[in-house]
Amino acid sequence: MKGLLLKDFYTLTKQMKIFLFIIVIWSLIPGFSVSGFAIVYAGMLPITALAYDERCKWDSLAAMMPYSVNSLVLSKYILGYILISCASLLSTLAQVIMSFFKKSPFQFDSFISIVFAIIIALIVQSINLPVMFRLGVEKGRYVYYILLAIFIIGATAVSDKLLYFLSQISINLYLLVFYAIIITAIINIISIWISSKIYKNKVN
Amino acid sequence: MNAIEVKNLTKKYSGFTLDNISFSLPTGSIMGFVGENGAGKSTTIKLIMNAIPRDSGEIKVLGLDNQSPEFTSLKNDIGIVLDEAYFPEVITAANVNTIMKHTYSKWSESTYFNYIKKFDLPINKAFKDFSRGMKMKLAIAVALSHDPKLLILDEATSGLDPMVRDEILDIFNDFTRDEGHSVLLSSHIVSDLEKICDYITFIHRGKIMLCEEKDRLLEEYAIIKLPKSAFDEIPQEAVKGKKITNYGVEALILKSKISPSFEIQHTTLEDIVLFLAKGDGR
Repeated sequence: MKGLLLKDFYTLTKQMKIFLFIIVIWSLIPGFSVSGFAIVYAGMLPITALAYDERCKWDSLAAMMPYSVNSLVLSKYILGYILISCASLLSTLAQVIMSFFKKSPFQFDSFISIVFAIIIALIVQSINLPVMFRLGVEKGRYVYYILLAIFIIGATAVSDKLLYFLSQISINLYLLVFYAIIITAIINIISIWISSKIYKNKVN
Repeated sequence: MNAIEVKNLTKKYSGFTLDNISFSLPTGSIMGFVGENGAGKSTTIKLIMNAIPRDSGEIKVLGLDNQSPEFTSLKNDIGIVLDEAYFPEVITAANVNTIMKHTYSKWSESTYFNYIKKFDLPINKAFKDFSRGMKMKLAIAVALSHDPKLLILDEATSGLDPMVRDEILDIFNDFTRDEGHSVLLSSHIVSDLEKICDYITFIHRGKIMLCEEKDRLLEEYAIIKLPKSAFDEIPQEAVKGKKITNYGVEALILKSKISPSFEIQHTTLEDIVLFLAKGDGR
């Protein structure tokens, strides 16, 4: 597993330097929709890693090495989790620094925004990865673009209104976050299970 | 004990069937797996490594059923070089070391870097900038650096210049000095196989045409060149393949089936393979 993650790390850091730079910049810009986009984008990077794998037929070579199907599949999810965590930490850090310069306390709403961005990123990843494992990145990319477009349009149009709405309604925000995390965890577990099934049934 | 045992293995694709093949690679020996492009060599290797599902048959590798759960771990003992599956293009030889250190339980950095030096490979150059020969050398270095008991090499010498090929064949030869080490070497460069192999398995259109000790093959078969009229006197069961030219008939024959009075020539592995492949024309 560590070997697979290192391989993806080398692939992404060397070929995606510019994109990682953009993620850092996005994360440093305060405001939900922009830093949120960075977090969701981080969750899409495992697909880029998959694309590089496909290009060099890494799957055929990996099938000959002592990697189990589960570790081959799980490594892509873990890669996404690590990248989402990094983008989230950077976003949080950026907002803390910004609030320091503005001489205003770090807003709890900002933290909740980041949590929701993480949840969206995890859901997008859990939808994307089984599709990519099934169709390959070339065909699966269409689904990727559709999800990306939906997210950008949705996030731009809804984020502020949604936050305003949530602040107005009487529902306990902690409870809402808790339910969202549980549902996201379940979606991810189902996604990993589906991806493993797809990978096992892949006929080369 | 056999390093590889394949029994009645079948795999069907649309337009191609690997048809009920069986062969064994005895431990401590080198087997040449020869056949034309598309004969089924790579499919067989993928099936041996349980990388694709089979339709029927049994495969044992190093004494273990390759469909058992322990087989994933057993892959630590198998060094593999594939014809056209590589490392991601931005990876360097130094990166490969780090990745493999966390992949193979018996990875030896010193062995790996010795091979990198021996093959004159750059440490920090991206894989995409490697020539085909360099890529194969890197794959061979990886295959040899985790103390494998079995090497499976799919067209490992193709794309290499004759000097490097010779050097690599020597390495494979050295590898089998340890009696517990075995090599399955798939290639269509028959001269390479003739140089180092103890056994030859010839696959043609998804079927095993022969699986024999190399020396026995060269002893059993011979080439005969005769005018057409004289050729008719040869018993047909002795003829394994023939080529009719304006000057007469050239044929691959089984020495034991013809009279010693005929003048015969020693054959090469390449002759045997070519005649057997064209045998349907006899």
